[in-house]
Amino acid sequence: MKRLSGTFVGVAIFVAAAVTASSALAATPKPVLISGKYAGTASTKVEGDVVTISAAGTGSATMLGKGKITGAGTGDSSQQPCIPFGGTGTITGIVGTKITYKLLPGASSCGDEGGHVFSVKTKLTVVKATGKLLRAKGILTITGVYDRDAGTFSIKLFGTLKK
Amino acid sequence: MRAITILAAALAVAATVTASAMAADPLLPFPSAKAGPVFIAAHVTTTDGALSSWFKPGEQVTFRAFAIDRKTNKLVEAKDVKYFYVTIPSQPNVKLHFDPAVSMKNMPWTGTWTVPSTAAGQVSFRILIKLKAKRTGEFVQMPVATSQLNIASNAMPALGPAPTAQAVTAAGKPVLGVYVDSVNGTRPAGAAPRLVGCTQTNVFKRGEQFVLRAWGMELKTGDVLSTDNVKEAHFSIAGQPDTVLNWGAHGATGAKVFFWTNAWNIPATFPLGSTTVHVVYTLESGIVGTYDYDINIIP
Repeated sequence: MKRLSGTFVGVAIFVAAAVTASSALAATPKPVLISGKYAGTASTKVEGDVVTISAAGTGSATMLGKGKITGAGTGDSSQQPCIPFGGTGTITGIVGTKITYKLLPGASSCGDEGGHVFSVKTKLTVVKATGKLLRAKGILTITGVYDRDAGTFSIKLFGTLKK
Repeated sequence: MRAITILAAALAVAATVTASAMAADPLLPFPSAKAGPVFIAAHVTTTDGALSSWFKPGEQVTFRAFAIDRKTNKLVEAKDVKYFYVTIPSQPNVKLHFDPAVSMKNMPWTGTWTVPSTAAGQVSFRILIKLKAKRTGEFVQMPVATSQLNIASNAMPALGPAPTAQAVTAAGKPVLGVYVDSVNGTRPAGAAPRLVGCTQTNVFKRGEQFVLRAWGMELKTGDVLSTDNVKEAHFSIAGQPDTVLNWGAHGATGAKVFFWTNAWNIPATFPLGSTTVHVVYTLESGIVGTYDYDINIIP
């Protein structure tokens, strides 16, 4: 009985140690590198100083695989040549993987002399992630180009999330 | 054997897809996504150092430059060079000479070209360097027509006098290669616009619009500075608020390139004389690089 009891205690300690160790490991967020490219169409409608923006495109990124990106928001065209803007959107990938995002303040789009081609830089914060990125949090960067005449955009998406 | 063939085919397809994806990437900055291994920055000036992109036949054009060897992170000096010259279509090469004593301190290489009396139009020059260590580099002009070297019999005289050369290279080993020049803005708030806008100049009247243009590269990686790797860029002028540099497209439709610019409207009361423009790049990686550039303010 003593030996059994001793064994039981030993097993219990081992299990407890294992659980503690795995819990500790689980509690440490793992970095998830995201890097991809997307392209598609975008429209900008100007009323007064307010630019209403909508965009949708396809592409692929690590962890997400092939999928789509969408976004909608508004900008302030009273500020030139770089128009600040904000908005929300989603990035969908394979196997139910989806990021719902919100753009952080500081997003801007700088136009050329004729307002034809704009460079875009913004950071987005992940509001919700599902599928392979379930519970992933963090900030990603978007850089790219919007061709207003053609109504097209192409962007790079990159950064590291924690999950 | 069959498995190896399939693997090879898959790799070939993957390589092709990757290559085509890269070729389709429209985000190439000026002069390319990567630069080097020797970084070159160069200006075209009058013989007294006033920046200009328009000259008359028979006038003398001075090229001045500096170069950084990415491998050593050192400014290139005479002892390092196998050749360093300007190549001009249908003209003899213009050899650049190293003489920091007589040149602008942070552009110690110079050479002079006398424009032939029959020359006219845009001059698509290139500057080529080869080090004794066999590393090479090339400089080309930003493809914005009015700011490129042009020869015309009715070219406006360059504004002068040139700024006194105060700018020096930052102490220590450079971490970034930065090219800076300036053009006259087309929408001056307090002065008449010049006959031709966006021409290179480093002499401005009070009330004119100073437009700084810049591009550069991270020496460690060779990556050209863009919104992909730059967290913040700006220029500072004593007594004035900092001006953020914007990454944007410039040039003619179909031949646009991306570089960094922004304008500063020169106040009517700004002190006359030479002043130094301090350009600062802060990368996402935390690296900070600077470049100092001189301009002269005249009445």
